[in-house]
Amino acid sequence: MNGAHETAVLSPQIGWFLLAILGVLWVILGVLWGKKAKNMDGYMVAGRNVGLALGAATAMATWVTSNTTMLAPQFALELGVWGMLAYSTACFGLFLFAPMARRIRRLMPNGLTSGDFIRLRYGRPTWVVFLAISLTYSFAWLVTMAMAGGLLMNAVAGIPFAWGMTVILLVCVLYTLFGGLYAVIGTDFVQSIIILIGVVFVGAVIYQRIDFDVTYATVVAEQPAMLYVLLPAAIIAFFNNMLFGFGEVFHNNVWWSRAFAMRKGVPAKAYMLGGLFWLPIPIAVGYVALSSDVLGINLPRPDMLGPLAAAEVLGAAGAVVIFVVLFCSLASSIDSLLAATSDLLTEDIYRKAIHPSATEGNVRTASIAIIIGLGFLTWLTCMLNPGTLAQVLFASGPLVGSAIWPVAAGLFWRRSNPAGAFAAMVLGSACGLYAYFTIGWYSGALVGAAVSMVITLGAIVLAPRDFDWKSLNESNEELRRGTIR
Amino acid sequence: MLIAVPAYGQSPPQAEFTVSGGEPAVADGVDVERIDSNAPHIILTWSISEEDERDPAAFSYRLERAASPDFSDSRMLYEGRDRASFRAGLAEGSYFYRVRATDEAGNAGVWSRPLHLEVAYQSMRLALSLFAVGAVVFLATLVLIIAGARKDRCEAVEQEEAT
Repeated sequence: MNGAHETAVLSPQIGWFLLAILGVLWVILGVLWGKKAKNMDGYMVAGRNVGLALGAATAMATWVTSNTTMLAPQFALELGVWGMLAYSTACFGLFLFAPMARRIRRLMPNGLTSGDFIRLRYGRPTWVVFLAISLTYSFAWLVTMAMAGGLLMNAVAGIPFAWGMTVILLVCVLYTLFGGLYAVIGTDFVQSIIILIGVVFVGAVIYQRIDFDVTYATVVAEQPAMLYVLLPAAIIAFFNNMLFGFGEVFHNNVWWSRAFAMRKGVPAKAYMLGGLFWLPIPIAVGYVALSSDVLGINLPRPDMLGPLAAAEVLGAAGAVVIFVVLFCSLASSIDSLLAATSDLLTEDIYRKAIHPSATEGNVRTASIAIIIGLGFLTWLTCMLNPGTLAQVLFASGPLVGSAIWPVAAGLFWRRSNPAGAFAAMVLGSACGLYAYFTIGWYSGALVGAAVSMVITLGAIVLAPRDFDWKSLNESNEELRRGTIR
Repeated sequence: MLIAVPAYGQSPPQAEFTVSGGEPAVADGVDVERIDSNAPHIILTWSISEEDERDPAAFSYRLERAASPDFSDSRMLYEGRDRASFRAGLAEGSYFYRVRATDEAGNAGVWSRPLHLEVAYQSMRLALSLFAVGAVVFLATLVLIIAGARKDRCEAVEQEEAT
């Protein structure tokens, strides 16, 4: 990215060839699956008929992002064994969202976005704050994944960062544009199978190559802090990362849109299975971080460990496998975020706030413009090189941490107070950001969530408000009846 | 900013070894750049100076670390064409780094000005306090969702019976 890394395992020609094959394949599949979307309900929530296999696969594939493949090793490098365990706690976000998804599906059979829930549950002021949080986070996540795509292609095949990042973003924009959530979930299924096969293959090779005793002895001698049980930064990061994961899943439309898209009875099982499939992956890739010195890998940036280590261990042929696996893991998340974030912008901002009388055709046109605009903005931000993956993503930690309690309490507790939810998100975000800048990036989500919880509970105790759950069942008949122009 | 000067034919190129946030300091009589950190890791970056127009990728670099500023106990950390290195797992204490560039003909330049990294972790009291806060928030969230899910199941059964 900054030219600091000068060695690649694959030649740029092979890298470009793989990029072209994968890019064309996903766009074709996206177009084919997209033909199922006959109206906006099909385009945004895949006809609300997604079954268990597709549901679990899309949950797992979406959660196996650049964050898993590239940030999990970075966590282990920076925070040692604690960091590796801390990253794996992100699966609790999916486990706890499972019962929430069941309730979401039951209370909001016609729901389209997480923004719908906040608006109907807490009113417009809280909805505005929620949208600001959700859009900021989603954008940060998108940027980290597009950056990861560029880094990956640079590290493995020597393709310049700007070109690699541009191609992966363009491919995802194209097939999301054509196919909507049908294409996203369909490609997620294929991608999740490739990811699982690839991870098992890479894990088996690494297990054969690395001697555990040598790894332990090297770490003790050269990187002793990686094994410290009482490493302060790692102790703080443990619950911070877990709560960050809660915040990411609980509030984000990526997960809500899937809950809306799944058949009745499917969401809870799908999210549990998705979390279980995901759990071993960060531990496996995190272990590689502990072995980096044994492998003799120089890391220009901590977030480049994943691809560099895999390429080092597997050689050129294996590098092709890891290239494909990582491409799939990135694409499966970028497409999900593009679709879910554009839905949030289209439904919550364009249709609800700007143009309430919009026709089906207007909404579809707006959706297309938003997906293209979002892709372009992400590309532009990546070109400005905003920092390492962790710096970019964790800056949004305080924001999503502050949304955990307003969302969960609002979903399960009738007496949740709208003013309390508003204050919880605003003050939780502010205090979390303060901690982020004064204590460190590994404390923001934790402080944001704690402050938000105290305010949410305080507001319920001091000023409980009654709520009729039936009012969450907003009719989208007008939207659902139309057909895409 | 640390400078490494390889012996290079006509005009020797200058490599700059940079770490953001550093301050000039003197350790045991050696002029160094000092960085204080509470994290067990650091990214070291270096490049050829801006005045030199040759391609920095044309040179090979050697990075060394020592516990003393005179580098009497130095050991090589990296040798190759990369111009950055992430060092992790650092225990509390003092570390001294230096870098040297070598041209394609094998002529090594002089060592750069050393970098002094002083690692001192955050307070354990702060860490354990935040850990305790995190545990409370986690358990409370767990109770909220498990209790809520049980109630939701009952409501769903009632709803189905009613319909």
